[in-house]
Parts: sequence; C-alpha cells; structure tokens
Amino acid sequence: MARVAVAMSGGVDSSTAAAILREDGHEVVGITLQLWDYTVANLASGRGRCCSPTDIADARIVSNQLNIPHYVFDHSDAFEDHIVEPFVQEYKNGRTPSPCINCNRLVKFDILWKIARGLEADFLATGHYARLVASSARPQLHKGLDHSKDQSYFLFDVPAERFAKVMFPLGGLAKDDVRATARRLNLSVANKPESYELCFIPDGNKDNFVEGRLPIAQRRDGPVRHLDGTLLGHHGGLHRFTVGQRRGLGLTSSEALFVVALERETDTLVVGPSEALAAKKLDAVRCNWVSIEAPTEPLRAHARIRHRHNEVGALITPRGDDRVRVEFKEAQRAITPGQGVAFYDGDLLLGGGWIEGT
Amino acid sequence: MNTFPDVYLDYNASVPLCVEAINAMQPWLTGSVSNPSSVHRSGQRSRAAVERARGQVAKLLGCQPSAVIFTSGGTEANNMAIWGGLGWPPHGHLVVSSIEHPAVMEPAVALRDLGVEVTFVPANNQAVVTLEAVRAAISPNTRLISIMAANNEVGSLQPAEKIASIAHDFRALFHTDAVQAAPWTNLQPLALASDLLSLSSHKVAGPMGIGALYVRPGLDLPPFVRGGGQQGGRRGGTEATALIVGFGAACARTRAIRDESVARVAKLRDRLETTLLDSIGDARRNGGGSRLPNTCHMSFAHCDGNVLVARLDLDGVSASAGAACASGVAHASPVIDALSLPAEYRDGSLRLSLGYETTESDVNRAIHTIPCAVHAVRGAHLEVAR
Repeated sequence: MARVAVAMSGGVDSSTAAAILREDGHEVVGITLQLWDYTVANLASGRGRCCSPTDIADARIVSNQLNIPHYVFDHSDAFEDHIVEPFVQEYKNGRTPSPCINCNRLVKFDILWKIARGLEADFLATGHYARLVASSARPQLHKGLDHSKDQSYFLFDVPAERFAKVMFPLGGLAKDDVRATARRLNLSVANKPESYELCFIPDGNKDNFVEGRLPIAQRRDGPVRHLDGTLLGHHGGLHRFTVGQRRGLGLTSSEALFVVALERETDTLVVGPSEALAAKKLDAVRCNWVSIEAPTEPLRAHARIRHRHNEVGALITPRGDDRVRVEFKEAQRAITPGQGVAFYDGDLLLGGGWIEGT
Repeated sequence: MNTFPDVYLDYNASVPLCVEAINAMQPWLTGSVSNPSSVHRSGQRSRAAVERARGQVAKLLGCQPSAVIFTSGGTEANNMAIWGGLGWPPHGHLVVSSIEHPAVMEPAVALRDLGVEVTFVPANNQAVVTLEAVRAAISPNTRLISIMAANNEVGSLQPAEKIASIAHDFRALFHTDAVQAAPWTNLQPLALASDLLSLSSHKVAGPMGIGALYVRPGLDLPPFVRGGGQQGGRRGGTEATALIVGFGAACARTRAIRDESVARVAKLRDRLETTLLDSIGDARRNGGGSRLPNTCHMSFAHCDGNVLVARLDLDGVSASAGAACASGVAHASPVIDALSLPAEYRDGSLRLSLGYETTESDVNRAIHTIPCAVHAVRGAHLEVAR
C-alpha cells in the first residue's frame, strides 16, 4: 500500500482513477488545482473557466464518497502565466499552440508533482489514458490500451524521471469501462458529460477568447497572398488562422484555397491549393525523450504531428541542441508550427519535440 | 496514516460546538417549535427562549438585551454595521483598516464603488493599526470608523477602545469586529466604548449560522436585512430559535470559563511557538506585541503554506495557512502584505490557533509533527525548483 496523490478535476476520469486506487488498497489523497480566477468581475467579463467551482465541488463530493482527504490549491497565477497568456501570444504570432502539452509539463507534472512530494506521496496519479511499464532502466510510457482515448501524445514533454513516480490507473481501460466502474461505485459524477474543448475556453470559440485578450492594435493583420505571388486580399490578424485552414479566408476563388503558411516577418497569410500543404519533413526543437535516452544516431520510428493524427513511419535525425529533423516516408498534410510531434515505437512513446517548420 | 485522534488547532476558523449549546438547542430542534412572533403559547415559548438567549449574549457584552440584534452570523453583523453606520442612503466618510476581515473589507469596497469616500488605514508590520494612522485618516466628514478588536489571522490586538475615543472626538461612530476577540478578552469595556460591535456564535463554541450586532442604545441604525419588522424593525426575518438558544448558551459558557482558560492557553501557545521556532530553521513569528493568547502565526522560508497545511492534515494536525475562505483555497491576504515579509517567507504561512479544549498532549503532538512536515514540504520545493 502506497500513498498516492490523485489529481482530481471533478470529471469522471480522474474520479474513477481515485476510486480504483482506493479499491486497490492505496492510501489516496485527492488534489485539485484551481486554475482560474472566479471573482465576479472575471466571470462577467466573459473570460473562460477551468476547474470551475462546480468541478471543484464535484471533486470534493467524490472524495467524500470515497472517504479520502481532498485539498484544493489555487495556482491560477501560474496557469495564466505559463498557459493562457503564451497561448494568446502564440496565436498572435501566427503559430498554433498546444496548451495541453504545456499544461502537463508546467502544471500537472510540475506544480502537482511538487505538491505530491510535499505530501510525501509515493506516487502522483492522474486520469490520463496512458500506460506506464516499470523497467530497470527508465519507465516505459505506452499508449492507453483504448487507442481512441489515448492521451500519451500530450505527455511527450514531461521530464522522463517524473514517470518513475507516476500512476495512470485508467491506462488499461476503455472509456466504457471507466463509466461502468463509476456507475458500479455509484460515483456522483458517473454520468457527467465529457468536455472536448480546451478547459479555459468551454464554449470552444477560440477566436473570441483570443480577441478578448488581444486589443485591435496588437493584432497582426496583413496581406493574403497566393503561393504564386498574387495578392488576394487582407486578413484581420494572424491569430485567426492555422495551417490547413480553409474557412474564414473571405476569398472568392474558383480554386479551393487553404492556409499554407503564416509569415511572421511580414504578417502575410500565404494560401494555396491542397497539394501545397503536403511536406515530407519537419524540424523540431526542444525535444524531450521519455522512454529512451536521447538518440545520438538517426532513429527509425513513427511520428504523430497532432492529436488524433495516425502516426507515420519517419527517420528522426538528431541535429544537436535538442533539435531533430523528421523525414516522413510519405508526405504529411498541414504540418503546423507550434504543435508537438511525438515519436513512437509501436505503442511505446519515445519522446517528442516542438514543430518549428517544414 | 496516523492512528491518533486528530489535533485540532484551527479554533480561529471555527470552535467545535460545546456540549452546553448542544443541550440547550436539543428541545428546539423538534417538530413542535413555533415562530417566536406567533401569538399562541407555542410561539410564546419560542419568544421566551429567544429573549433569554438575548440576555445571555448581552451579559457577555455587559449591555442591555435590547442592544443585541441577532444576525445570520459575523458577516451579516459586519455588513449591517458598515452599511447602516453610514445612514440610509449611505453617506459621509468611512474609515476601515486594511487588515479587516473580508466581511468588513468587501462592504467598504462596495460602498467606495458606489461613490462613498472610504479610507483604508494601513497596519504596521506587526499587523497593528496605530492611533497615528487613524488620526491621519480621519476628517471632519468621517461618519464611521471600523477597526477590528483582534486580527483573525495573526491575532494582533488593536487599540480599539482608544480608536473609539478618537472617533467620538470627531463625532464619528465606532464599529468593531470583535468576532475573533470574543473568546479571549473581556468585551464589556469595548462594548461600552463602541457604538457597534459584531459577534459570531461559532467562534465562541455556539452553532454556525448565527451572530449578533451590538447597537448602542439610542443609535438609530437602518436595517440591512429588511423584512417583517422583527427585532424592533432592525433585522427582518424569523428569529432562528434553536441557533439563538445555542448561541446564548455558548456566551454563558464563555463568560464562565474564559478567564481561567486565557492564562492556561497562553502558556500552551507560548511553549508551542518557542519550541517550533527553536527546532525549525528560517522560521519567524508574525504579529508581535499584544495579541490573542491562542493564536500562533508563523512563516517558514521556502515552504508552500497551503501544501504544509494539507500535509499536516494527513499527519493528523488541523491547522490553516491563513483565513479559511469559501472555496477552501487560501489566498495571499492583505494581512500577510502588512507584515512586509521577505519574499522567501511570503508563501509559507501557518496559523495555529488553540482553544479552551487544547491540551498539553495536543501541543506535544504538534511540536512533534510540524518540524518534519515543514522539512518535507521544503524538500519538495527545492527538488523541483528550476
């Protein structure tokens, strides 16, 4: 029996994770981070919400049901500084951020980790769908058994040594199993609907959120240009676009046009035909290696360039300073700067990096 | 997890309900209790119980029973005093300290937002509001001064009676939030000096959800909660008979055992504090000078106070990092700001507050547990520091 600190968001996944650990006989301690400021003024201004008071109350009710202690820590400042503001700035500068990857590295497996250590927990557990297999060398992180729920991609940037003291109780379960377990244990959140949106933008309207924090004077508007050099129009700000996007361009053209690139030097939106979105390679920076040592030689693996992307065979060549070049067997569509690329060997997450360019 | 019964050192957040209050309330939690305003005999019994309890609260304050208005708690009492003390509609200049409880601070901020002139008087680095600071804030237009009797976080006693006399020199009203001071100080001279004084039942071992505002006889205070004209038209709403009866019993008990408890608890607190300061490096005591005998407020460098409190709870010691707030999340408070702590101490506050029931063995357990907990939380802080 170990002391396990469980990150509880108030949702069915983390609640069930806590319940499973409790059934397994562990000494379970619930932890919830409050990541958003819920003063009236803040709500009235229409800002987003993450771990809302209702969610925190749900986590407390579940903890009470499970008869485990539950503590709430306010880290809304860190969430604002490390996640929300960089998210807005990345969009502003014509990149497409991946806040969940950063949240895992900078919030969940850093702040929560520190709290768990302070509570002298032997492990930190979360409701991620991923599997950890102990190994004498370093922990081996695999995809969740239910590939449709797999969240390993979001974990590639977490320092590997953390996983030695992490548990993912849901890694071997399918979502239906989790719901069934929650119902069997009569957890109050068993039927709580799932959220698919970013936690701090519950209505999913990213543009509204970004523009609420980005005064018009700061928006990077500029020309819309065809790959062939033709000036097609004007756009209201790079933040509204992402590579591969077709809607919202405001163009009248017989040809189907897509965003091919966002040129930050000139604030230009470059558009072109679908074929122009294909690229056979990418450069990634700030690579982090999870289940293996940082490679020194070229490595054959499979690469995933966004969540829910089916990874493809690739040759990964280290180029020093935590940078790699990734060459795909076949061209990939809409490789997007600012997103993460994760490397796999079958179900094993090797590591990943941040897409810089193609 | 530990197998000992928990050590409760969070009396400033709430005092466990005393047996006297439980026994007194029991008959009023049955199905045959009526509205104290009803004409029939069942109503008459409720009325008599409410009025007896009003007398018990009045005795604690040394005032006449009609000066006691029951409210839903300390927060409502403070709201009633701050809003009502400025007349209706609110006008004139309001002076409050910057270390008031949110139940005073928030109404003051709301009034400021409505255009009322409000001055927030800073406290010194011992969390004490000095007479000089009050004198500097006051003006001929000042209508109400509100300064707490004792600070809830660090326990510093405020020169409330002297400030009351300054207020009266300027023909201003004086309100004091005596919620935290009530179990530990003789409130009679303070009530005599004040125009308005707030009490909370659960801070004196009565039930939660009930409190009182003392209103100096002759002072015409507009109601804050308007309704059916109860309590002389000063607070609408059917009196909560059971809660009021419990509150009354708790006040009687406080009066009976307060003085003998003060010296004993102060000794326990001092031993706890001295031993912890001796055994934990980079630790400091906050709020020196004259303070409540039960409160020990310390800060530890490089230590997350919120994690420390959680960790102590797992070890069977109930404490708090500051004031308890609605969400159960502690925030950096204006009181901590007033202390002007060095940066590395700012996140590492711990409040241990003792009560009448605190024993030698409770203090021994705390002395045994807290140093290790601080060590562990600091270790985690350094381990992950980038």
